[in-house]
Formats: sequence, structure tokens, C-alpha cells
Amino acid sequence: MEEKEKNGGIRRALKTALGILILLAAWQMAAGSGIWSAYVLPPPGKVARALAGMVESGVLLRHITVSSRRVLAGFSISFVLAMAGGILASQVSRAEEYYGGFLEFMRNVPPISLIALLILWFGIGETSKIIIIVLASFFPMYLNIRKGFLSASKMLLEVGDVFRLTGWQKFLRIVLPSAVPDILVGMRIGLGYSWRAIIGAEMIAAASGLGYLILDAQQMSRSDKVIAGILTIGAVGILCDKIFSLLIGKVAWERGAGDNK
Amino acid sequence: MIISGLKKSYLVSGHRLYVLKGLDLELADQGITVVLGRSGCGKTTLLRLIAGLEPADAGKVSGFEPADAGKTNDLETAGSARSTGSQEALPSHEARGKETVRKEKIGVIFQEPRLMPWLSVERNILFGVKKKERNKEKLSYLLRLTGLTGFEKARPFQLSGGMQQRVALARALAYEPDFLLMDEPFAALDYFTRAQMQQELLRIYQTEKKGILFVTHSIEEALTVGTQIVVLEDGICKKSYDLREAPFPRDLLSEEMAELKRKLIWQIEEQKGRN
Repeated sequence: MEEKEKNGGIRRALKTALGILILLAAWQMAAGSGIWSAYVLPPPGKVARALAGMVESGVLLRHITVSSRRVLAGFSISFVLAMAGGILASQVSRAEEYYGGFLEFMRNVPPISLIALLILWFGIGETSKIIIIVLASFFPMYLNIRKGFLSASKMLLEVGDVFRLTGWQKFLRIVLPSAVPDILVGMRIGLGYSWRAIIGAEMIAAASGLGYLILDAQQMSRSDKVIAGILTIGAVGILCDKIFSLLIGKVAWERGAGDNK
Repeated sequence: MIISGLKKSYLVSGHRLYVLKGLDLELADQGITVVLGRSGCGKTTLLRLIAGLEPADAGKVSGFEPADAGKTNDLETAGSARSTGSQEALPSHEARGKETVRKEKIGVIFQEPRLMPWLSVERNILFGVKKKERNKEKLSYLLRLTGLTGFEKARPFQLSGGMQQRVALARALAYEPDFLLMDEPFAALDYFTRAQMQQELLRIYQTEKKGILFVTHSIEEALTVGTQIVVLEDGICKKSYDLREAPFPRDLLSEEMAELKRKLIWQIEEQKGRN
């Protein structure tokens, strides 16, 4: 059984690798065909050299660190706000009627459209960049976390009533643990959105970071560096996502829903 | 425990549906009172009112106060329940602000196990026990009593339906209730598991000697476990049978039991004819 699963894992990894290899080969062939100039479509080798150069000089690591710090700050603030909003929506009846409309409005406003105002209000420092990330990652997290808090089983809550738990005890011992899977899913999606917002955030007068790297390379017409930056963001994003999916898988297994890893 | 004049109705799509119409019932402090009746006769409603999961429209349950007595019941209910309560409240329960102090602990076993899926068997069993009062001896006693020794670290999903229901039983007993309410607890189990659980319930009853209210629609089950059988019909107690003299385990094929079974079937069938 275990052997079989292990083989399945290896086979899946091989298939993924094969897909990427085919893509790389197509890219190489397209770049080598001479239809497009090396500026429009730099060959993989050139991108790899640019990437290697940045890794060697430590520039890439610095960009990753700076961007990660921003993503982490924005994501954490979003998470705290989303938890607070979710708890309020589930524990205080009708609270959401007051702020739901405003949230619904903000959800439909693209964060990048607020850049001008954010610069006016908060300057060009870290604050504005982090706010962009918060705006991008709050809503998917809030909606999932809210759903988690609101969908606690009535049957289990009655068990709490039978044991005469107070409202607060019921929240801590029944509602919160019931919501954990949805909270984790919300965090996973929110983290993805945070990474995707990094370009928008670093459009605001940044001097470092992966978003800056891409925008700066664009100015310098270094399309190989642009692609290298994109690859890095994608890779870091996948890494973060993997960590969360492992966590979610563990929680799901403990609750007897372990098949959907 | 004395139940008198208990009324409850629900509003179902604009129509008021009267479920309990002034029900009177006396429950022994020790003994298994089985409430028998057809689906929809108000068995579960009765149990939920006693457990305090829902407020009654009128009437009283004395011996303890229902959960919502202070908040939602009418004055008569709350007042009378307070005056008839003979036991003193425990000091630890006093500091709960405006909430009514209930005097008796009621354990409930639902039709479904209702275990917390994120907790191990042992944590589920101790769910209703205060942190300070948790101890190893009590846990291992309950595990032995319910035949769950060795499964304390298992998760609910790893257990069969019968075992999950046994965890629910252990959880209710760990709470050390003065009275136990059981709402068709074995209805979802297969015939053999059900028969086994009934025997286990009797064994546990004989060691713990609690007052139990057992709701079921199965006449055989009522005859197997009841020390008193109450037929519920049309929102009131239609008939009550005293079975204290019949020793456990019972032979349902004996003349006496067969006769009683015939009577019960006749009673419930007659009900159907009239509806």
C-alpha cells in the first residue's frame, strides 16, 4: 500500500518534470528559430545565466528577503483583520449588517486603483506597500474564515449547551476548532494573493524586492531578468503554498477527511 | 423528577403545531423510564425541553431548572422551578452572573454520537469535565466501563458507529450527571450492535444507578431496558406501565413480556387508526 503510494508520488513528479521539460524545449526552439529577437524572447540559457548571476551576487536573495518581509507583514495584518471580522460576524448577531456593505464595496475596488491616494495619505514608504498587500489578501481570507466561523455544527453546539458551556467557552472549544480547516484554506489563498500583489505594492517607489527587480529590468530592457524575476516569484509562491497544503492535509486527516490532499 | 403541564408548540409555515399538550410525567430518580411512541409524537421534544435545549411554552419540570428558565419561560415556570428545587447549588456554579443556577446536572446522549472530530477519544470523553477535575482513574474507569480501553488516542472517524456511540455514553457519564437523557441512542445501529449496546446500557445502569429517560420508537427496546414504560400519544402521556418487578436480563419471548408487547402494539396501533 505504502509502496504503491510512494510510486504514485514519484510518477507524478516525473510527469510534472516532463511537462516542464517540454515547455523548456519549445521555448528553446522558439527562441532559436530567429523569428523573434533575443530581446523579445530571450532563450532559456540567457535567463538561466541572469538568474545564476543574481544568485551568485546575493542580489536575488536580498530581493526575496525584502519582498517576503512585505508579504509577511501585509499577510499577517490581513489575517488578524480577517479573524477579527470573522469572529465579529459569527459571535455578534447583526454586527455584519453594519460593515458588510462597506466590505462588499471595497472588495470590488482593485487595490492598484488606490495607489495614488495611498501615496498622498501614507507617503511612499513601507506603509503604502503593505496596505496594497493587505487590500489584496484580506477579502479571500475574510470570506473563508467567516464561513468557517458561521458554519459550526448546531448539533455540536448543543453538546456545549448540554455541558453548560458559556458563550465564550463554546466559541473556544467548538466554533474555533470547527473553523480551523476553513481558516487554513483562507490563509493559503490569502498568501497566494499577497504574493500576487507584490508587483503592485513595489510599483510605489521601491528600491528593492522582487517586484522592483522586474520593474527595474523592464526599464533597462532586460527581458531575461524580467523572466528570472517572474520565475522566482512563482517558485517562492509554490513553496509557501506547499507548506500550507501540508498543514491542511494533516488537519483533514485528523478529522477523517484525509483523501483530498 | 416531576413534569407537569408541559406544553410546547412550533410555528410551521404559518400554522401552529401543538406537540406537547400539557404533559404530566413522574420520573424515578433511579430507573430507566422509557418513553415510547410513534415518530412525531413529541418524544424528542420532551427530551429537549427537559435538557433545557429549548424553552417550554408552559408547565414545569421540577427537580431542576431547565436551561432557559430565567430567560424565556413564563414566570410561572421559572418561579415554581426555583421554589421546588431542594438541593443547594454548588458554590462553583454561583458565580455565573445573571444566568439561572441549575441544580441538577443532566447528561444527554443524542441519536447521533455528536463527537468533536478534532479530538481524540479520551479528550472527547473528558469534554464536559472541568480541567481541574480531570483525572486518570476516572478516565480509565470509564474506558473500561464502555469497553473502549486501548482506543483512547483514536480519532472518532476511526471508530465504528457503535463505538462512537459508546464514546458519547462515556462522555455523558464523565460529566457525572444526576440524570441521563437518551434520545433513540441506538436507532442508527444494526440489530446485533444494538442488542449489544442495550445489554451494555443495562450493565452500566446497574453499576452507576442513575435515573435515565430513554426515548425510543422500538417496543422491543422498551421492553428490554425499561423499568417503566410510558406511551406518549397526542402530546400527553397515554399510559404508563411499571416493570420494576421484572428482572434483567429479560426474556422477551416469555408469556408476560409477549402479553405486554401485544398491549403496547395495540395501544400504538389504535393511535394510528384514530389519526
